[in-house]
Amino acid sequence: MVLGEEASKVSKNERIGYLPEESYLYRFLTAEETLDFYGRLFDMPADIRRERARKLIEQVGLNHARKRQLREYSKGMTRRIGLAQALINDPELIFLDEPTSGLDPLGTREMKDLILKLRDEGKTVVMSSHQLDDVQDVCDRIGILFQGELKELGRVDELLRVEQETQIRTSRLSPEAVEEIRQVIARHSGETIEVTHPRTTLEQLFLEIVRQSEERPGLRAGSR
Amino acid sequence: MGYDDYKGILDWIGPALWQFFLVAVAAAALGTAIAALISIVRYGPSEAFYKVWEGIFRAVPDLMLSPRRVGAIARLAIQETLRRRVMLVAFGIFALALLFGGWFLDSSSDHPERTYLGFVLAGTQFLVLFMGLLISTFSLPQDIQNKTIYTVVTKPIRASEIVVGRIVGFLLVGSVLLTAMGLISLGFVIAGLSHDHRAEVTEFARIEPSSTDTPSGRRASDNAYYEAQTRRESGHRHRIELQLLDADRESLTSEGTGVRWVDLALRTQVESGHRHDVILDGIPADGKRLERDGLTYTLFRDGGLKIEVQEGLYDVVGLIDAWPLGELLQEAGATLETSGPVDILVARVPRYADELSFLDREGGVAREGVNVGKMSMKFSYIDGGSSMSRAIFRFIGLRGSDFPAERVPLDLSLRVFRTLKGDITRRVTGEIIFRNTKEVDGRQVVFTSDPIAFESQEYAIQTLPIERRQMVNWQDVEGNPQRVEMDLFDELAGETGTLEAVLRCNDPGQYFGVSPASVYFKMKDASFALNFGKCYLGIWMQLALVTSLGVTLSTFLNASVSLLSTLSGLCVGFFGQFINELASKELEGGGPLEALYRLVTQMNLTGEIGDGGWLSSADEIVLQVMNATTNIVPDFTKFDSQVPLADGYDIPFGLLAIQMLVTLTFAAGCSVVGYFALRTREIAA
Repeated sequence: MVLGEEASKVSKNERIGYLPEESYLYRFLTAEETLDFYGRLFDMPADIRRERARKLIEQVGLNHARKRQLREYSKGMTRRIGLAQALINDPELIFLDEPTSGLDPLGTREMKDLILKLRDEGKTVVMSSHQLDDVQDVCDRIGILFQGELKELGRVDELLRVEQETQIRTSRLSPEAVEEIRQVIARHSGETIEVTHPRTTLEQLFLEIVRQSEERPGLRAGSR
Repeated sequence: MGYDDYKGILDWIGPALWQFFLVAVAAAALGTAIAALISIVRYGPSEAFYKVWEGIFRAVPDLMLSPRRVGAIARLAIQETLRRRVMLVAFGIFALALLFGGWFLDSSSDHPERTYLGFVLAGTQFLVLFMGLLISTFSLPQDIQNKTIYTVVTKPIRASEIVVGRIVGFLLVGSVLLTAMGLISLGFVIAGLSHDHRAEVTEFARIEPSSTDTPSGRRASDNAYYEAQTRRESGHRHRIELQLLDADRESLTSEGTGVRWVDLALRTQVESGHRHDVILDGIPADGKRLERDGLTYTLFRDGGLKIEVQEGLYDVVGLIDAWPLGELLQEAGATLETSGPVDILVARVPRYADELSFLDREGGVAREGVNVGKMSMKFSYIDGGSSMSRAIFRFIGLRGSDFPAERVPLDLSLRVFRTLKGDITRRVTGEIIFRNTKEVDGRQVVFTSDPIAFESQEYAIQTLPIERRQMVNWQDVEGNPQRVEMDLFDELAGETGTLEAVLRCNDPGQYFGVSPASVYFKMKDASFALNFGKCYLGIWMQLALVTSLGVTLSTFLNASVSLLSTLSGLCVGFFGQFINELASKELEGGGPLEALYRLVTQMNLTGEIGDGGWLSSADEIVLQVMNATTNIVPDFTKFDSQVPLADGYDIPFGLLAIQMLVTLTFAAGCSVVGYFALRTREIAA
């Protein structure tokens, strides 16, 4: 049963959006034609179809390439138009198969932001992925499948919580203060496992560099 | 040949519907059985029943197609064809063929229009069908291979819509291509055949009517007094005759004072299947008057000439000879030209006889005439001379309103079989009478027209202009002969419109061959362009058959296999009759295996193979399988109207309607098969 209907029924597809792993789309169609085509499959009237296609193309940031055939698209662009076609019917339930596969860090970030936005709109998004950090970033609940069996199912924050450890993050602490805190912990018979400066993720570093270079074009490595 | 065996859609539809019903039930039963087998293999016997039942149950709502979704798939199919440039290639080849093909077409043949039409039609048919074959069989397998189908089937689309949408889309592409090719072809044919001739007015020579001793060496018409030939153009030249149309014979006979006037006209004679209208350049349309020796000559631009007597005593020939034609034309300042070809591209609408029967030599009723042991089986012969042998063409339901003119053209296409040479300069003669039996004062009376004599033209269609008002003979109660003038259709044929045309051959020892289509009244000609369009509609329907077959086969076969299968289907469709004849042993030489053996061993068609019979047995199996497939694929040749079009016969709309029904039914059947095939593959929900 899907959405209260039998899984074998075609009509249930009207409320579902699906992005296949490889964005299996017709490469001889342009972005606009692609969305128009899938819109027609949902029996949407022309004006609604056009309006939604325009919005979605804008939303996935392909406005500059709306009239180009998909055969000229990069992998990231194809993923984005793939997502747009999955959303053409304003679905309640969205299946995304490896939504970030093959995307560059910028593309991955944008895809993840889009997914989060969908969540905020109250849609159910089901995604499968091998990119575990992406899953961690965007998913509320996860299931872990191994050899065809569901091994774990639950909320991400609960599943990943390490109950025995406590993490304190703060800023601009002097070495003396750190030493003092160590002593406090020791006094409470706790074992200090690690006190370090946290590292940012590569993803964040990359995004930061892109942001800076957009602000100050011409900046090169070593010139900082 | 025209459509003498076409009986009309109303006679066809009843048996056809019954047959359709039988086939549909059989196909449904067979389909269910196959589905059950597949399910049993896949899911085991207990589950299978449920699966099959569910499959059928679910198919019913899926037959309700959404026009928008079908349209979407159709649009996709069109875009695919356009962007893959298949159509462009087909059109390019066609354009090239037309550009250079014109060089090689022989316009000096007896029937250049057949050459031209055959060329464009065969070219169009080949290219369009080939394109249809390619695009229809490659599209769906490619979709499945590229997995693009998965994005589609996760949308609320039915498998039926995927199949039907594709057929519709490819057909639309084909229609555009066909229309473009058709218009260009029509222009090509008209332009290729278009020509006019010139002639020198001084070259007119005096000839005697019906004589064979003419400067051109050709036999003169029986009303021709002058002859000239045009310049050669498009590989042929026409004879121009000055023909006597009418004369004031009454004055000549009743008073003995000579004729007061004669009406003459310049006419071109038929050559290469057409004639031209004469144009006298330099002569105003309303005529130019000249006077000489008490005679007034009025020349008209269309080649007409009226000679009137002011004073003097002339007979007809004397009037014509008073001023030699060449000098007269020169004096009038006329030059001789012709219009473009006339009667070359026509669409005759024949009104065939409904029944053909024969009388044998003794006058007894016979179903067939004499078999002279040669030529087409379609023709049956009657012998001439004092024999009572007759061919009777019975028309039923003739309506006078179908024949607006006072003279109704009756076309004869007779074969002549000579048992003796006879006078070789004379043609075999015959005559036709019209008759009908009607009830007068409670008794059956036969009304018979006077015989209309004619000279047969072998291997050509000849037209006899029949006066609608004919003198009709009958006998009253006392047996006294009566004679009255009657309208052929309104009065003689009467309310039932029944009329018999009785044909006899006059020359002893000679035979006329007739088929049911040999004698017909010609109704008003239909538009050739429209007829051309109808012929293209036939190609369109062939395209529809190929496309449906191709798309359906591609739902369960991969691209190359479905291409080959569809091609085989096409071959079966075109050569079905041949296969039938092979299978029923009407044709010698055996099926593919036996034929191959004979080819390799260079053995003739009938010799004993001497292999103990295993080859023939294996061959028989292959042949019977092939024969069975001819029942699945429609006979493509039935949709082919090239021959009637080139021969100048109108293609009846009723026939097109029948063909269209067959096409649509086949396409619908294909779609159903394709639907279940897609669902069985579990590609589409």
